[in-house]
Amino acid sequence: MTADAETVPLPGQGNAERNWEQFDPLPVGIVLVNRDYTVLFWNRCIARWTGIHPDAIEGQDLRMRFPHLANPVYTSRINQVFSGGPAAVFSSRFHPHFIPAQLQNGELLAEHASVIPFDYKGERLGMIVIEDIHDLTSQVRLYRETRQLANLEIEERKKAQDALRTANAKLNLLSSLTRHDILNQVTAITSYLYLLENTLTPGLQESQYVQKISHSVGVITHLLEITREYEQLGISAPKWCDVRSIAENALAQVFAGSVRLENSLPALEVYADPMFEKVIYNLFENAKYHGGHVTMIRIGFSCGEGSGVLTVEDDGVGVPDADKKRIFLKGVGTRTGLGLYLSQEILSLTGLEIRETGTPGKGARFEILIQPAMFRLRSQ
Amino acid sequence: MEIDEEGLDAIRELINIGVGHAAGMLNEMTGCTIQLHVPTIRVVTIDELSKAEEIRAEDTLSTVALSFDGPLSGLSALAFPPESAAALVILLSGDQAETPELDALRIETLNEVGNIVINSVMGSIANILEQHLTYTLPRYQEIPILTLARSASPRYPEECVILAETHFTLENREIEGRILLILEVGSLETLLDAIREVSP
Repeated sequence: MTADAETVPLPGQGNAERNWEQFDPLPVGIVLVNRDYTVLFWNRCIARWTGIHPDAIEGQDLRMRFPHLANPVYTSRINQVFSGGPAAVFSSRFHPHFIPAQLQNGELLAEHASVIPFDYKGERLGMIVIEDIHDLTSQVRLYRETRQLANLEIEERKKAQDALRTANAKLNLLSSLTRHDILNQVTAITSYLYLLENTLTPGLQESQYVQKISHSVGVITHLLEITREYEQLGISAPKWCDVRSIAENALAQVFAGSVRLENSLPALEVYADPMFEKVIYNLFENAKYHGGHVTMIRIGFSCGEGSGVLTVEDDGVGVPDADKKRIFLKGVGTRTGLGLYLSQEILSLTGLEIRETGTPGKGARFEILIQPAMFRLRSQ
Repeated sequence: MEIDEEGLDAIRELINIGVGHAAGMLNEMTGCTIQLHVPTIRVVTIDELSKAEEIRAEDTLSTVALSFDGPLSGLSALAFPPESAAALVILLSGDQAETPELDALRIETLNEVGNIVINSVMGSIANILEQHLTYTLPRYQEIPILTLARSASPRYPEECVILAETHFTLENREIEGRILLILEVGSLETLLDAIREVSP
């Protein structure tokens, strides 16, 4: 391409013809330069940003006004544009202030610049387009800082979780050793009680005391077994539990076929502690030991307003109105007094709730209330 | 598309001249010591591109591309796997790497890096043609190279792609990218003719 500088009107020479004022309303800075870097046009936007009036810069060498632009980092790429190459883009990372412009708060405007080939009357000019990316820069920096803080917090939490896991493992080990030692002593007590009982005449007061001690030793043994069963409570991450198969297995274990199961469950999965299985098992054991002559267990599921309700019912004696809430308290009950209390604790780990809503005399009915995100129905 | 070894060598040299020039500019601009080289180059049709499994043409890449028109028509692009693109920008800009993804500012920076490499390669090609081409502005996209190639022209099955593996080496790390030149039908012949004319 031949440069014909005479055809390009310099500022003040035939400006009416060039019609570059059409770039004035644009919300970006526009500067037209020829291959000598003489400013031919300086639009209103860049004039406002820099405070430099077009009359004060048009006709001047841009590099004289902004000496950094004389650096080969800029000129080698801008000259490529004059020589027929593609547009050159200048990112805000390496050239944040291509044409420095001060904001009202004293900061310099963050800019993205492009030098685009612009052919005018047979001459290749360079159109410098300056975009304001100040807000974008601030937002991205804020995002990076926020994300960094979040990452730090996650790291801290992971450390805390690891420390808790280690502490818990140590406590479990201690608890297991202690339980083992107590059980050894209980075995010794049981043996001596057996020997003692054999030396006493039946019907004596002392013999009755020995029987009471034996009963208490039995309770201690059962409590120790419960601590073993529940030591994993909350240790493992919650998982999706298949309620139907859990119910079928628990029924077979507790009733061994002596009770009818009415199972209307859909293919339901509940997000719960892995000990959820124990909850269902417990509810069936309650029916067996406290329900009287239970002949049927009914298990079902309903769903309304997004939440789900899992129900376990029997046709036994039911729970008196006065006990409906008490049965979930620690120590309440005729056996260990821990079954329903611990069931409630297991469920609460993933926000599930349990209540008793049956009719006294007609049977017990336990409802497990499940938040929308905590259950799902698999396709059959 | 048949291309002899001599033609392939000449194209490799043109691209190497371009990336050498780009490396110089990047060194000067960033203050990093960057080495750029093109160890392998191959020419395939777009149809072959979709079948060559080792090219992984359907993987989404971070690309900077521009179209050109004139004696040669087509599309030129620099492409990286997204994590490599982010790593390259982080190394070049000296950013802290706590947020290793490509955010808007890093994309803007990658656009400039791609612009420098593509412009240098296209400058090297335009020099040998001794004719000007017209170009669009560079554009960043996350896109499989097969989709990018097909978008270059509706006659894509017959068109050819010059695929140059490109290694950026900086701060003892090597980051692999690809330079793609997708040439419309007839453009490769034009390029090879121009190469033959200047060959001794």
